[in-house]
Amino acid sequence: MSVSPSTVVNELQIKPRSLARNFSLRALIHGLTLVVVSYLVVVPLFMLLYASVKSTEDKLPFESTVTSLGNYAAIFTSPSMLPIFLDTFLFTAGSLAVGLPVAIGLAWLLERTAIPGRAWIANAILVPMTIPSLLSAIAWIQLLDPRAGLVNVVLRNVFRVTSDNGPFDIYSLYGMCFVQGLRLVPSAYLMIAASFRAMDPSLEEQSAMAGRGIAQTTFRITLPIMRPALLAALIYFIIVVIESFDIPGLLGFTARIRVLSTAIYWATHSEVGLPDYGLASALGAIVLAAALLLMWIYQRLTAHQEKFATITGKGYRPRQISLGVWSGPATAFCLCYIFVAVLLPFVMLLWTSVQPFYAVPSVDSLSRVSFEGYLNIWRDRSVVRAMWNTTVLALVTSLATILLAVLVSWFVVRRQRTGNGLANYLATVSFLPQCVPSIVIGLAFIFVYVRFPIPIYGTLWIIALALTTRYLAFSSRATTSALMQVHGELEEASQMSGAPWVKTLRRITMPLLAPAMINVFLWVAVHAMQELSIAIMLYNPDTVVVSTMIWSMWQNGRTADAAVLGVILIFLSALLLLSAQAYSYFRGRPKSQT
Amino acid sequence: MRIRKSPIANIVLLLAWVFFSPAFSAVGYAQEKSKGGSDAVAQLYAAARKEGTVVIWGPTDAIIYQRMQEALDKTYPGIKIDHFESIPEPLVQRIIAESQAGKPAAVDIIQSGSLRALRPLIDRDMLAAVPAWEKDFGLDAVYANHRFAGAYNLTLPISYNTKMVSAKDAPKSWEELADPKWKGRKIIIEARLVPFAMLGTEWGKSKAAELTKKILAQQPIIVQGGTTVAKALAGGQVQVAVGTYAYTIEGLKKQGAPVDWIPVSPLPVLTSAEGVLKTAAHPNAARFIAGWIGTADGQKIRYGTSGQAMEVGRNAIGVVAERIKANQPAIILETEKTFATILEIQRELGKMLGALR
Repeated sequence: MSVSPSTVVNELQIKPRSLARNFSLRALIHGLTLVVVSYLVVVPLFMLLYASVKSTEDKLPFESTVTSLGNYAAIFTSPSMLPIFLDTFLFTAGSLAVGLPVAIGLAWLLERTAIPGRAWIANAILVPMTIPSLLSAIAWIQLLDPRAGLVNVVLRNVFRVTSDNGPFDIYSLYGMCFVQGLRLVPSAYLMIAASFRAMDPSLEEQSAMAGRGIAQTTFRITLPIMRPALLAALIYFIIVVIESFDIPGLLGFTARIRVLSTAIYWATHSEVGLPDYGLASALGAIVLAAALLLMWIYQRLTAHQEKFATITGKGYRPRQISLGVWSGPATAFCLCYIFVAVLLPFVMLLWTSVQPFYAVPSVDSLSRVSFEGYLNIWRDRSVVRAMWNTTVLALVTSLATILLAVLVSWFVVRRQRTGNGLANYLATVSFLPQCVPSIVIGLAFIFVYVRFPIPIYGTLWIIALALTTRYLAFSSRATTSALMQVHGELEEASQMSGAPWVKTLRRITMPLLAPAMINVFLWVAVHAMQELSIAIMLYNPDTVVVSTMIWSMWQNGRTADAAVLGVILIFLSALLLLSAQAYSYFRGRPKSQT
Repeated sequence: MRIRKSPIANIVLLLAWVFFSPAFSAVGYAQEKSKGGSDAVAQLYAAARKEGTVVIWGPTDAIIYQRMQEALDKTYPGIKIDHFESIPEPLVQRIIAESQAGKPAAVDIIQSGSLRALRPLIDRDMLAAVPAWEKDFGLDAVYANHRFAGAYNLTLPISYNTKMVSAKDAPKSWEELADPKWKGRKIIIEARLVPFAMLGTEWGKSKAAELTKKILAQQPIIVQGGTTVAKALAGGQVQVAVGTYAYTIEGLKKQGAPVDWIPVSPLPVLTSAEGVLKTAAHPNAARFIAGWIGTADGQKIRYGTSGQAMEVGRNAIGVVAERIKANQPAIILETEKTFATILEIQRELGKMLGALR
């Protein structure tokens, strides 16, 4: 995409406006953004901190009259705590070590180089994000289980190994880091890719002209410029890994890797009546403290943002680098990732959907293949309603989140230049919901909105609101790091020409942020389609969604039906990805013609 | 005509009255009770029919209630079952939160996979006592002073993969799971360790904890979810499984999976319970449907549609019930008297897997 600032500014139908009016509108929107974000974040955050000092064994937080630091004492005096912190550190570090380099590599290849088939590869690497995490984790067990995993069985047969175990063991720290790392790649790619796309290659060209090779240029020019985006991704995914439970829940118990999310799981899903919200919230508050520390470090490291701006008014022209002889290996790397992270689990999911129970593909199990599930699924009256609700939820949540994220980013990035403390506040606050366990967000929303004067309790809107809160952290991280690379002089030029702030935002800032916004839209939509913990607290028969149906089917032993619905969900998500791709294509075409 | 009785005849008559009158009166009482019970059920049905609808929240598959509705319409038409399928724990929290906000949840019957999940509602006195379940419907699985009626049982046996282990070699007791021959990812266990916590109510906490520790030292695979456990067993990932239900294994067997289960003694059995909310908008329909599901007729339909049924007790039905009856293991049943102990032991065992409290 190429956007010449002079062209855009000329396109604006400039009318003289009073600076005061411009300022007041901006201040009003700024104020509204502050209020809305604070409100969205305060609800779950208050619940987290309030519950963390309440004794909630067999009680809900608002029923408890005892206020104490007992939950924190229970955590820090538990003999399990030290191993839990250590394992959490190892699991987080290992997962990030697998996921982030792959995501950075893919983002660089697909956004900065002229690798063949970029559009297709870019879409394909997002597919793992569309596989529900429960089904994805189970697919990986079916692939890498030491005894019956397909990959292990094939390898043992090929190499005529007599043992009935291995060579790979998914129930290990390495297995967990591998699967969790792969799960991170699509999200990390989306967060980083937009920044690579927006980078001005002239800096790298100058480095090359000065005689530096690709490696030197990458480490001395590209990566330092990408620092805000990479740090944003790193900090965000540290918290994501700490909080994620699917992989520790399915692999970690066996591997004896006990992490913070396992402890939160035991506190909230003990299947013994009411969850221990106090303990879960105290654990959440510890994650929150870690997040605040990380945010402080991040703000220190990216203090002078204009250093990282690469889209300026002075000849910004993104273009791709030719890889020459390295084109083949680079394509192979992308295809290898697609084979491992996309094709293998998807094929396993397909296989599960046509089998009454899992068995390694064989003559025997081939005789049990049945496509009945794909016909029977439609007999369930709730399926169509769930699909409609899921589609509405995904669209509403992603549009609301993206609007808020762009406004937050603008105020964070542009106001920070003038040293506005409110900007730092907004940057920090928008990140905090990521530290609140989903189940706590769900409970907070029940308690607040059941009493709320506006009747949104029991509707789809309350789920959308909760999900918007949940996804604000990712969205604002992604748009903030993209906006950091857009120098403020473009907007200043527009406003100097008399364009109102809203028009500047709409005609200058948003088009330049479009790649990041599309990425965020896709990410939020796909995640909203799968989200379970919040939906399961807030849904009712009228607001049933696909994720809750998949869960129910799985729990009731209808695994083939759950897999069928999972496959349908993937196709729906793929449709969304293709639509976004088509939109980008058609949006980009007239621009390039102007 | 005046009948003259000899003194001997009078004595015989007197003796006959002394010996047989209790029996006659017992038969009469039983007939009366039966007649009275039927009348009471008929009256409850008439009141339920007037209400026309019953709203049930719980984990049962929606398809099962759709099929039960078809059967219900044939014998007791006029009551529509509105079912909302979800996990009981969030539902219980929602009911409590909505009730505290002065907006009672729009639900008549709350159902759970175990008695313990509904305990918070008992603690807060939110469930109605329904003596009619025992008195009029003749149910025996009624708990907590008539506040819970059993809908079906969930038997937790030891299961095994028949391709990998012969019936002869399969473990016949819980202690055998600690045998070194099962070391090294040969056993799969559901992470909540419910069977071991229930064994603790019979054996005592320390013995159950000791055995659990020994079995966990066997390097078993531990995953979350009974279905995941069953699928792993059927798929040949492991040889032996603990924490999945006997009826699930029977269902997989029917589909051709190489699995079977052993009615080890003692045998832990959970009860899926149904309770009627005090704030139910359709209280009669709720009392009637929860009672009807527990009867022999209701159980027959439930078993036919899902394989789920009462597996122990008066209205027990199905393959699992037959095998339990044939093998006569000691049963550890979850009741209102044991669920507090089960919870306490479960919390203790959970610490072995990362629980902090």
